[in-house]
Amino acid sequence: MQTAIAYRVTALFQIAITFIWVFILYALWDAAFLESGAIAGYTWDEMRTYILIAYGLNALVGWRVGGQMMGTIRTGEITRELTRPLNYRSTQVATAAGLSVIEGVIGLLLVVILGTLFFDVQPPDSVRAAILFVFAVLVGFLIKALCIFLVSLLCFWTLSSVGLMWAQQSVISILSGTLIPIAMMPDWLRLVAEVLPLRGIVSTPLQIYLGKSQGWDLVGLLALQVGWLAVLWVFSDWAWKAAFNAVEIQGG
Amino acid sequence: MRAHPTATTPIIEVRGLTKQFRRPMKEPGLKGAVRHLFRPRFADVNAVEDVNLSILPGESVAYVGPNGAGKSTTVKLLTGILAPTSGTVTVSGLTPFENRIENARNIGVVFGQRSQMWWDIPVIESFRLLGDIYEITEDRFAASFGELNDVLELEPLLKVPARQLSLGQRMRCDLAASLLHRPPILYLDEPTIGLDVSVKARFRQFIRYMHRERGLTVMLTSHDLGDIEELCDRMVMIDKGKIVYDGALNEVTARFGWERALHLTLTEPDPSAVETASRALSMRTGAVATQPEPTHVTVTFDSREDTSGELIRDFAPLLAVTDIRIDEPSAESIIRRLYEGDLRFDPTDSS
Amino acid sequence: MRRNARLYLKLQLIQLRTAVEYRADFWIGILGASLMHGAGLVFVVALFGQINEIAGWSAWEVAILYGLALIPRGLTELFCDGPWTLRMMLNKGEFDRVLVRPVSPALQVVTMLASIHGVGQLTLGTVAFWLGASRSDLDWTWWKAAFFVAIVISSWIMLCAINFLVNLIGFWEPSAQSAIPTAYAMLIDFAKFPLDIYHNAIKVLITVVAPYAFISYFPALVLLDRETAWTWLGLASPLVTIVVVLLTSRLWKIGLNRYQGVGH
Repeated sequence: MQTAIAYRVTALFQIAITFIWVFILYALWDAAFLESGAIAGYTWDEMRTYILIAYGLNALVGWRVGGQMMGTIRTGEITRELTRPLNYRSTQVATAAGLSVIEGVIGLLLVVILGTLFFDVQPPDSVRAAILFVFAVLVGFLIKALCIFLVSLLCFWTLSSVGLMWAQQSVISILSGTLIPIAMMPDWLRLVAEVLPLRGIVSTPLQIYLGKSQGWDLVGLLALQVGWLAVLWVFSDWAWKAAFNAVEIQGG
Repeated sequence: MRAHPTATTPIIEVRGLTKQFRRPMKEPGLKGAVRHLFRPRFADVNAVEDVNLSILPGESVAYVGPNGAGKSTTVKLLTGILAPTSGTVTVSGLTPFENRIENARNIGVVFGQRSQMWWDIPVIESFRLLGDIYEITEDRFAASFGELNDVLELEPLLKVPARQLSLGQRMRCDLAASLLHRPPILYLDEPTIGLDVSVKARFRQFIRYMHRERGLTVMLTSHDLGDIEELCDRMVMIDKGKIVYDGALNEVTARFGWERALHLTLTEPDPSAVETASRALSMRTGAVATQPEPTHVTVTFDSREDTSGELIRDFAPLLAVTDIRIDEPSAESIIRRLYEGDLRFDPTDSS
Repeated sequence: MRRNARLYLKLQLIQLRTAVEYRADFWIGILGASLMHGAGLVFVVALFGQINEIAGWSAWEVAILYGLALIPRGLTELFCDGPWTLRMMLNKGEFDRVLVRPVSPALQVVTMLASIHGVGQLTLGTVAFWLGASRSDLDWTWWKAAFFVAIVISSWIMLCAINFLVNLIGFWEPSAQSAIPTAYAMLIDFAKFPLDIYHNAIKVLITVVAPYAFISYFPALVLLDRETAWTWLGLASPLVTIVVVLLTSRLWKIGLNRYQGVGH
């Protein structure tokens, strides 16, 4: 019980660490919006909401998920997993879901509480938007879990899981739209971000939430998101099998 | 294996050494943790209490006791890792805690299972680094390392990073590392844990060699009684922070080896033999009979009170016995009984 | 003293060499850390693609702040990241070995690790500063050049001391779970941006509690000839470093005494 509490406190601190950037972003955009009322189609109200919810969505799949996936490979525990009659990729995603429920929900609650109390976060654009938002969040969660899963496979070849975690976290923080909305990116970056699945983690759900995407545009966004999920789902299954066959297990 | 001290001044002198720790008294569970946060309670525990010890140069001493008896604490006090609560410690004329760095130059330490090699670099480079750390000149290094390399056969290991060595190979390197700077004193803290029999043999051989050839003063804490019997001629027993015995190893059996066992093999199975034996022994206190098998009776007795001859005369008329065996006490069994808390001391016996 | 310096160099170089030898890890480490700070820079580029200035600071001036923060950080990671291993050493009982060697324990702790990915920070920071300095209206004088060098060195020493400081918690709480040290170290991200934008609470945090503002913001005020009520603090940065070093050294002794059971 005490270790559980210790773990919680650590989890809290790790959330607080990433929250640093929420404060930074808030301060930056606050200063920016003093100059102009709207930037790239976003108002200050919307931006505030964006920052906070983006943060909450990222917190759903936290450090532990990646660490746990990489750890399974590094310690050779994967061989034990493979003796079970379950698909490795699916069990890892399920574990991620479990961890999310425990830890990610804390982040989300923090967002809700802080959002309503201090950040004056806006509510969803409409009821329909809210429902679709939840759907998009779930799809986005799966996409993130699968992306981290794919990165974790690199642990078959390298011992440096910390470096991989940093790399993956920073790439996701940019290309998912967490640090800056896709609409505000310079052209070259925007092209990349629009094509990759990572936007489905943060940007797509938020577009829906803020009502920035309507009608066919909305359908298109969701279709792209779900389409990417399907591709990743299949690809990740192939990838881990290929990796496993190609390489000796570490830690044996 | 007797030490031949070349001086009569002790190289290690400990007087009235006491080390107290404050242990938090925490009740288990969440309630206890919270309560401790608001009203912390501590107990003062003497890990080591009023210890007196004198070790002459060239002696080889075993420091023995159950877990938690204060062995590691004593070693840490002697090596300068811990500061004493009261009492004095003098090693080669220095106070270890006050003169930590100077004292460190005079000692070698081997911590079992915790290698002092740098993990990722070839072993020979670790040795060179140690040469720098201990400020060993080129020619002294050549001589010292040359000898250790020879005796411990390190040549094939030198280009390998410690990470890739087996436990036994690492132990050989650690032994060399601890003596590279030719300290007069070597502390060995559980050095043979996890080592297999052949490595242990080499280890003991090496220590005996250094002890004999270089007059090394050795202090060994070990649970391996084989180590103790082969390497040390003096034993200090510590229990619950206090020294309970300090003397020659072969006198331990004389002092504590009063418990003997008599094994009787019967001509034919006799389930009631143990009752017969017990009745015969009823006048003798301290003698206990058991019957592990229908054809076997064991009698444990206190040889200070009864002799085996007397006991045999007690049984002879009552039991049909074909064979008798008498167990001799060994230092090993005695030490084991000490660890099991089974050893009884006369307060007047302690030296 | 000289012997200590020589020993330090020897031990640290061995660590650096070891880090480079793990080839795949070497590149991934550099890549990962570079991406982390690089992501921030990409953000800055994108941000200033949309607006011209933030609280009176242009994109290039923000780049100067970034550079002033990252350069000493990179140096610290390369040369003084050892303290991060302290908690693990205490946990595993390997600290005893440190005390049994005739070398200062602080020196041994420092040389336990060389984070080669610091090269990434160093490069990123230098590039950011260079670009920022050349494209903004920073008037270079000999005095300012000397000031810049002095500030980098002073910041580097402060960050090294902070590395020690935050990990000293290990003497009181050796279980390696606590994320407090990491949290404190990451506060440096605040110092990558002009202090003007922050809420007062954060301003105080970055000036007094975690004095990272003295690494970037205040020195930048001096370099850019901005005349504000706070510019003189840029000149005071080395003093702050001295204070931090003294504090760290005191707490180190206290922690060490605690480990060695002094006063019981």
